[in-house]
Amino acid sequence: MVMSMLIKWFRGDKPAPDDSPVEAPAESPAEGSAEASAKSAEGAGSSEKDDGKASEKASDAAPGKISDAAPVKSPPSIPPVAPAIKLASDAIGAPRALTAEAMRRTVDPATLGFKTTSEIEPATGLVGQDRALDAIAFGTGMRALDFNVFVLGPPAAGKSTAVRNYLAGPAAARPKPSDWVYVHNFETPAAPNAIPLPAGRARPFAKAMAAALEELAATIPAVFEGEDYQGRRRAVDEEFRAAQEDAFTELTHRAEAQNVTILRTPGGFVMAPMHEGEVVKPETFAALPQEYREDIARRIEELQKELAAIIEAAPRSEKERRKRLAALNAEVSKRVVDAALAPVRAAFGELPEVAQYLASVGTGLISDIAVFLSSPRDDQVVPEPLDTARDPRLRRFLVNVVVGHDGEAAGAPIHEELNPTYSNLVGRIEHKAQMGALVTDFLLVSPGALHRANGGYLLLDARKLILSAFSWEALKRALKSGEIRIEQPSELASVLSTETLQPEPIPLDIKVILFGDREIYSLLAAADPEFSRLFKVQADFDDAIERSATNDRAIGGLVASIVQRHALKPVTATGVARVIEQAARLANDRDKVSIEIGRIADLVREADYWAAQAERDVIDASDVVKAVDSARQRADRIREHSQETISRGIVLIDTEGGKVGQVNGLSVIQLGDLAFGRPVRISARVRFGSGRVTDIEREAKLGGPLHTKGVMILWGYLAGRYALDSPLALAASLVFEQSYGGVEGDSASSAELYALLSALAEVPIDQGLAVTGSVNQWGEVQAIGGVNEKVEGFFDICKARGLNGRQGVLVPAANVQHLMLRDDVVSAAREGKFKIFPVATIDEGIAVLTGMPAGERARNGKFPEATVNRLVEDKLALYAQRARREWPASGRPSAGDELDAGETS
Amino acid sequence: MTAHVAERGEGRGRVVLRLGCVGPVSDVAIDAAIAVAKAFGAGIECLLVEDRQVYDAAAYNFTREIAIEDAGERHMSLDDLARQMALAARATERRVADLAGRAEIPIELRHVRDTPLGALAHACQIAGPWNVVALGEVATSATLARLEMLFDRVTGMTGVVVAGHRSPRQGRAPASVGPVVAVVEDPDRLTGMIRTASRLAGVAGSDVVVALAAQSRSALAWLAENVRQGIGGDRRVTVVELAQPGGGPAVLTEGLRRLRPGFVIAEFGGLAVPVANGGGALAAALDCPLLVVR
Repeated sequence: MVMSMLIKWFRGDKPAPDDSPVEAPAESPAEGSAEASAKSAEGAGSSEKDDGKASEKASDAAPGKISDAAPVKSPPSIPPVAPAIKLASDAIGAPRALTAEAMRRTVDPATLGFKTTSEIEPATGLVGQDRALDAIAFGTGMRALDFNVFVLGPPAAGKSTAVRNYLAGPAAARPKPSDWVYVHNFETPAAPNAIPLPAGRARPFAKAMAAALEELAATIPAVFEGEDYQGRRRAVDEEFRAAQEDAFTELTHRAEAQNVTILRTPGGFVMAPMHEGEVVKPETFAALPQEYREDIARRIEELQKELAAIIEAAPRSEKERRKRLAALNAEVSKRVVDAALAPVRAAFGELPEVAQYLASVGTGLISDIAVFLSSPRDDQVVPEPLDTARDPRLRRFLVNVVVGHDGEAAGAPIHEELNPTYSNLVGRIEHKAQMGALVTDFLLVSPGALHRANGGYLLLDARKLILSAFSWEALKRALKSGEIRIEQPSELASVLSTETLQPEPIPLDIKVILFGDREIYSLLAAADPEFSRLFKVQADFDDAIERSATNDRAIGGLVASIVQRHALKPVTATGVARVIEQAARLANDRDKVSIEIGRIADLVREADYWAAQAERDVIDASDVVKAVDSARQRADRIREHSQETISRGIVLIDTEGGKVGQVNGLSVIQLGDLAFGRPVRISARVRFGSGRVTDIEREAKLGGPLHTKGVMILWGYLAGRYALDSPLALAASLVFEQSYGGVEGDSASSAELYALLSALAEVPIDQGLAVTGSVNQWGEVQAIGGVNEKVEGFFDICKARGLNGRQGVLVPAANVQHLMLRDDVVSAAREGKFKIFPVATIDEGIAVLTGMPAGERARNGKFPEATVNRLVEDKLALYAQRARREWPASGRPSAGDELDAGETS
Repeated sequence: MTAHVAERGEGRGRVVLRLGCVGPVSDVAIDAAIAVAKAFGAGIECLLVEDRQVYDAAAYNFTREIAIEDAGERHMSLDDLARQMALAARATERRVADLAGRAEIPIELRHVRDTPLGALAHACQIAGPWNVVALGEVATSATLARLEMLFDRVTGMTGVVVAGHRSPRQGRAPASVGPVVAVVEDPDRLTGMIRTASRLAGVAGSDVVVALAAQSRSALAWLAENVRQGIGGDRRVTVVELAQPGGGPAVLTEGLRRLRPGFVIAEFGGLAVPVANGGGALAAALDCPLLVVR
């Protein structure tokens, strides 16, 4: 029966009405030339040979057992594939091939309403991103630190540009934020003080302070060397020196008057009897009358007490002298310091915090006035002037401007930090090596992006932010606390102990706008509860917008803006039309257009280059096509290599003939921006078994979970379709041939099912066709991604080997709306050299692939004869019969039954 | 008398640096002696004098040493005193030898036990008369008060170097060294004073200023006229009139101070350094070395 049906198909006869629920096709889409028929005959011959082997092997898998139990119909002789393709249409329940127009949606340049982009207004904002822009407007308008914005969207969608463009208006309307300076804290030097100043006044303040110091460096030595000061100092010195000396001299005179002299000893003073200016020898003194000796001794004792009193008074006197000198110095210093600081006070004294700081500076300068009076070193021929910027004793009187808005445009700052490391974000405390130690001071405090954007908007890339150690936590800390606190990362990690500072935190008033893709957003939302609390607004940029006449014209405006911004040549309407078509291709959707501005801009800029090469004044469609082709060609080495391995027979892919249990699947290889389709042979082997499909990819740990899921669904489909009331005593194995890098995704599940059905029915599959699409348990073919690349990948192989008019690809019907195929594919289809079949069900697909109707279950519960489903069901019934015989209890093997290697239940 | 200092090898003079064995060594005083020796190419004889009177005083059983640190009283033992004197002398020797060695000045060290004046008189008598005595202590008014006795008793010397508070070694840079100021009160002394000042200025690279001092306006005018004639066209020497006549030592000293001298040369017994108790103001005002010539 099977054989007779196949002969009928070969002749082009219609199947019997009771066998087929579908009507005959209105036309046979691949009714080709005689040459095609001849090639088909060759292919059929070769297929017959191959499939004969396959059939032999299938029989070998369970030698004798099946025939012993229930004689099986002889496997059908291998039908010629080409006639089957000829019949692949309504006659066998197969879908019609798509028309060329369905493979690519083009734009009629005439509908754009301009000849070149020079005639239209460039787009000023984003196209089709109203929702995202509304969110940005809301988020940035909310005056709260926790209403920050996360802008989601694909890369190069123009998110940053759009946000900047939007923010320009609100930012300009806001006041310029304060400048901030760090100054020395005279009470706690390790905690520098932060002082706000009106915008634009920080640097003048710092300059004024530096100028004051310069002036002091010049005037203080002059004042202290001046006659006025020197005279007063001498007076003080003289007063105390004279007082002490006079006391000593007076004592000396009184002692001499009493014939007593005072002599210096190594440790102090000693007194002795004196005669004519010299000490009386003790032996001479001993000869004197006792009364006289006692009198001298008594006098010396009294004088010694007086001398002791004078010596005791010396330190007190010195202390008093120093006190008087200090008072004198302070008085003179104050006069000079006040004069030097007067201009600073006049310019900035109205600011309370500055006034308070200047008071501290004045006190500090007066107490440390000696700094300005350092003596030159001995080896200095010409004394160096005091370096107020470097001398560590004077640096503390300088001012560190951390935020200065002078010279900037009016309004709030919009700052984008491209490298949001911790230090770049919150600032850093730098160190200098000094005598082998790392030292720092407040002048080495450097601002971060938070400082620069304070009072305005900070734009950050979320991925870079979370990949930078400590940055994310630092940003959250700042937003939560409402202040910028500069801490050393080494302190946070507690890895390094060195001299450091704790600068006074600066109040934070900022709106943070994070940019990232949806993956990052989801990651943060899931992993960090604080994220949602701090970034309450999400601005979701669409990847693509609907294609319509209005939006086509909007894209024209976008192209015009790109031309204007990059000073390119005008683009003709045909050029814009090609850009729109390419944008649709980028969107992988014939009814949508990508609005990834970066990629569109790249395309137009590259087209501009090619227009210049062609010495054209405008960018035409051919330049856009050239740009697309060139970009692809530049990145095409891997694809070419992949194709070459197939062309040279290293990777085995058949593009004609028929094979049982073998089908061409399609995979997509993604390398950066480059994606291309690559055919892969999928094969299936079946035999009697315990009821399991062995996914060799999974067993070899090369299959991902989605792929495994797809294979499991096949089992559900087989059981539900063919073995509702009998055991599914099938052992099957599925493999992606010559696949060594792992398989993921379920887009090949329909192809695997086709291979399985082919193996069960022992009906060959046309190798001129390739398949993509996932399948559910009901046999419905579902949409997959990368349909364009997959189709083009198989087309390229066929084209390289020569298109024969019978080749094509089965795609899910739901993917037809995504088709934006290359021109050469569309042209080939238009010429009938290549076909695309939209497939909604497995039955449709198997009919196209085998040229045999799938068959629908009739009222008697049976599939019609000479249908794939009937053959499959018969084979499974045979297996079930045997299973009941071998495992009578349940139709399934029990624990003691021996299973084949690799087979588990 | 014109100041003269014996040059090296002359055999009849030198710089005689008198240092005691009590109290701290004054580097400033040593530097002053070295500066003079260097200027004249002379050697230094360093007299480390153990005042024998201290031993006599220590021998009395009723005397006590009053400590300079805390004014405490303690008995003195002769052995302890000798040991302390020896230690102090050894430390002083090392210090002087070190400073002189750096200045490449030949030095002869002698350790004697005598009265300070006696030791000096004896040393100067042996190799006179062109000795310059350098007192190893910073000048006080008491120091200058004793100059009369020194000039009277020590006959084999031409002058005395008294150190101020500032060492001539400080500020070696010419720009930071004041001029050598020769106070001239007698035109007959001009040539010698200028020669001495020039040699001192040559070492430091400083200028020479002749400061004129006289009792009266007419005397000052006369002196100025004579001095200017004596100097002639020598542009290396600057002549200034030190102060208004009749102002007394304090006025003259203030005039000197305002010249910010690096070294001062003055005649003993003149207006700047009077014979009796007139040097107090000068000692108080000046912080540079003072060479008082006979």
